[in-house]
Amino acid sequence: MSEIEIKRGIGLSYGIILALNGAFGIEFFVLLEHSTFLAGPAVVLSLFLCGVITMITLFSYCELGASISRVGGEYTFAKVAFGGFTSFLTGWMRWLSSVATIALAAAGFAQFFAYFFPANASLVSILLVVIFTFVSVRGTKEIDIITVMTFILVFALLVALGLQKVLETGGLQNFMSLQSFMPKGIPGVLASIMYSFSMFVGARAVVAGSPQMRDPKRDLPRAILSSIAIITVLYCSVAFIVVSTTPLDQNLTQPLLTYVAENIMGPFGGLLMTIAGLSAALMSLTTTMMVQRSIIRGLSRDGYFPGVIASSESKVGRYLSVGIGSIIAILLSVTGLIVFIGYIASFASLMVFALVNLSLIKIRRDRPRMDRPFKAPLYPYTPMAGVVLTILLLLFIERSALLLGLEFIIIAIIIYHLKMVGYHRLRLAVGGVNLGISGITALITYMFREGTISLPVPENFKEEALILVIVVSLIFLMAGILNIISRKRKEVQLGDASFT
Amino acid sequence: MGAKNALASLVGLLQIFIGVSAIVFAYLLHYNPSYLEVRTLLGLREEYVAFFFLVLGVIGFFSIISGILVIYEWSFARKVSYE
Repeated sequence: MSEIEIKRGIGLSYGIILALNGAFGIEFFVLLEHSTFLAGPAVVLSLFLCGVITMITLFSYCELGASISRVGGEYTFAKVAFGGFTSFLTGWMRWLSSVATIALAAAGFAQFFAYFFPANASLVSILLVVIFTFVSVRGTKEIDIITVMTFILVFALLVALGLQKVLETGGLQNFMSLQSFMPKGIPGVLASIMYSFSMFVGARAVVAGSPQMRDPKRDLPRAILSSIAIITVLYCSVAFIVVSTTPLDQNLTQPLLTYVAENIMGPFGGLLMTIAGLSAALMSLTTTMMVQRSIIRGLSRDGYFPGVIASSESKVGRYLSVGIGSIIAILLSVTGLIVFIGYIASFASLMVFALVNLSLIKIRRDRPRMDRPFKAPLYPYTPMAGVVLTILLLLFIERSALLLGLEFIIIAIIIYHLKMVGYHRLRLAVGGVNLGISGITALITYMFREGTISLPVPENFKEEALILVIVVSLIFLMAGILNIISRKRKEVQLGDASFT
Repeated sequence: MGAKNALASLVGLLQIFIGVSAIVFAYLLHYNPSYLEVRTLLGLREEYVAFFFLVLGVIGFFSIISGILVIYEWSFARKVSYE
């Protein structure tokens, strides 16, 4: 990856804001409902444990971010530690988690949007992703401190007024008996932790900004740990208010947090939470569009995808770098299956967390003398605990989400090996297969015409079908030739002075 | 744009179109939506559906990849190679 000159202007307070900015996304607004369904009132415990597990892994992020202060985040850590397929898989999974977050933000936006206008949710999701694809290509302003402070104020208001209501109505009885506290037992709590994971992982966004920090060695660990502490306290408090003021066995027609805010603060509360939800969705879209774009460009720069994607000068490249992820995000978001998308986002994030922890262990072993301004406490227990816990949590993922995640890993293996094969050989192979398909199609057409074989074609369309197959055969023949022959290239010797 | 480049773009686009059509057709064969009844229209026996679905799916994906490679090579790839 080429080194880029970076202006260092971020201090500790803005570092915390950056981390909070990443964490205050749409995830909390849309995932809390199913998380509560899984764990019951124990969702407070789930969120607390989520915060603890995230913090354990973020220790690894802190150490790696402070000692490898370069662009690329997790991908760079894995590249330094392992290189090869592991680093590609880390970048790929990080990209998948961003794409799933885009889908989640679009689907969540449609859900909150319905509070004002009952529009078709799929259409709203598609329009939103398409608009942000263009906005992201043209560039976005940095999200400022006011947004983060507004979120903190909205949640603090909900907690303060909710607490007053809880004390007035005696809603604490849910926490009195273990049976009502954990209606689905420990497995329910673990499933809820797995599902809620993506609510917290956004705090790692500050690692991507570490190269711009004035003193990353000192400020990065502080920023990450402070933000996780703030998020954990805030989310647990909101979840406590939710389970204490709302019966959990009802089917809601609006987002859970909007319902709770309306319940506590009246119509104003519903309106406030809806606006906050919409802002969170837009914020998540802005941030994750940029993240997924930078990851795919980084992977392209390292040769895993066509180089045109990495080029900031090419207009096609700029649209491709955002467009590929946007198409997958649209396909995911139009399903409207928020729970499923939530599991995908958590799966990818957990995979990245496991790989980052493994990177830390590998780098510590291979480079014992490396400059480490921050050291993960209780090493090697913290990264090992991070790996074990993330793998344990993966056991609680929904089966269909696990299958889709595994399919993405298979695609990663294929892309990686295609890169190893090399572009020229790949084109030769594809050209050869094209010629083969063309030949076989021509043979089938001939045999079909002679009556040697029969094909499932209606009698009236036989002639048209034959012409169509011949045209397809010719197109494959031409594609085969075009893939095999290369465009004339001007060759430049490595010894050429202008090149060296 | 030279004649070769134009031809390559055309062939690439046609291959992508064939690929997408093959995948859509494979989907229609597999799910056989009631408003189209593709299987009945073709008189296709149930046991052959999986085979055609697989063949059309694989050829469809391959065709899209090949089309993209042709367009990329002849329209976007750099004109200079370093030996």
